[in-house]
Amino acid sequence: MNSKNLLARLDDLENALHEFSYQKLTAAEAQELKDSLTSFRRHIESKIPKEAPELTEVPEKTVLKVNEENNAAVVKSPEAAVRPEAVTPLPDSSRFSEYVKDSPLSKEQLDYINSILAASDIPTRISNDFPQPSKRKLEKNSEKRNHNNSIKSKPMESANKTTSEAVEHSKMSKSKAVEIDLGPVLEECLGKKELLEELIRLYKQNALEFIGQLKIHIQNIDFESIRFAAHKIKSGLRMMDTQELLTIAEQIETASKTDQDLKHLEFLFACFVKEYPIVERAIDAAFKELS
Amino acid sequence: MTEKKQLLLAEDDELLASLLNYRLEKGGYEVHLAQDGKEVKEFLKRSIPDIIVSDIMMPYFSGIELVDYVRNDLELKIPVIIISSAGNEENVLSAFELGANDFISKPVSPSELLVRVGRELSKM
Repeated sequence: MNSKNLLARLDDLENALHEFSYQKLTAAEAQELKDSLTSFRRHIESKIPKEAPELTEVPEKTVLKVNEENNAAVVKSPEAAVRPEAVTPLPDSSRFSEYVKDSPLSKEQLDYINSILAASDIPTRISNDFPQPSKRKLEKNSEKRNHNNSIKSKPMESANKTTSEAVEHSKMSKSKAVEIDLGPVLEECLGKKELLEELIRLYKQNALEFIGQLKIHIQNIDFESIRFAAHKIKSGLRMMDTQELLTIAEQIETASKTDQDLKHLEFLFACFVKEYPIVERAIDAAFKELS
Repeated sequence: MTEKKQLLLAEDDELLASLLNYRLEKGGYEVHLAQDGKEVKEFLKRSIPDIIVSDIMMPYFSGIELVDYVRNDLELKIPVIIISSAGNEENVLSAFELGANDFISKPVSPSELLVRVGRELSKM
């Protein structure tokens, strides 16, 4: 087999793998295998000298001596490289080692192939089991790649914000699943649920008043009133253990005192408004749990 | 039957005031609520409580001004406990200089407040 034939066989292998992948694997897994093969192919292409003499005359009985316990070849995916047992099976018709074994090669050609195989670390053992953890890992990696791609392709949402704002934003966006424990508050109420209910009512009222006040104070660019309102709401937020809103209120108080950046305050206000309904639902759920 | 001690609670945060009011009443005090400095002044014009518990940051009339008013204008020696939030140490010091007896930090533990109120009253 000359180098051109070898590449032609690789094409066959690639096609077979392509069909196989989409039949048996998920698109992400198939893509992973395809990438692996492409990388392997490039590696082979780089190893074969461009101006290698056409090797047509080869001894008839030359056989490539590769470890052939199972008389099969596999292509290792990146995951398989991490987990040696996670090897991807190829269809019988595409067994690489068989192609090579049956091809009459010269000593020089064999040296090439052996060095290619050694460099590519092709395992010659086939495993028909595709270990589940590796499959999950593939999916995870695929998700990770998609996520990274989306990050790369998206314009920076907070490009015009300061670093601290971006940090705050990520912190705020994480707070989707809010859990509140009203147990300690109920203890302070000496177990009186009516009082706790009243406190919850006042809490909601205060929060809504705060939202209303803050909107007006921001419109009026009244930093002192913003600071005062934020300061006043804090104790109630702390009492109900609503940490997410408390953090925002603290930041509003600090921002209205120090940098006095209206855009930053508007952003924090928006965070509070966005977060409040989530917290309110969490409080209602926590109260129901107590009942 | 012993007469209940009169306690003036000056706190504009309704939520905290409700909880403290309940716990102080349960603790055996007759609590009078004031939501801002104006209400405090009006109450003090008609009645003298046994003890005052006041937030340091209130509309119209701060806790510091309240201490000043009680000690210098009314010349009362009744105990005054200041409720302060963390990071307000300077104001707390000012309140002490003007004659505040004690202070308690937010978040206020009602149980702790009850102990502090009892301790201040026992000194009288």
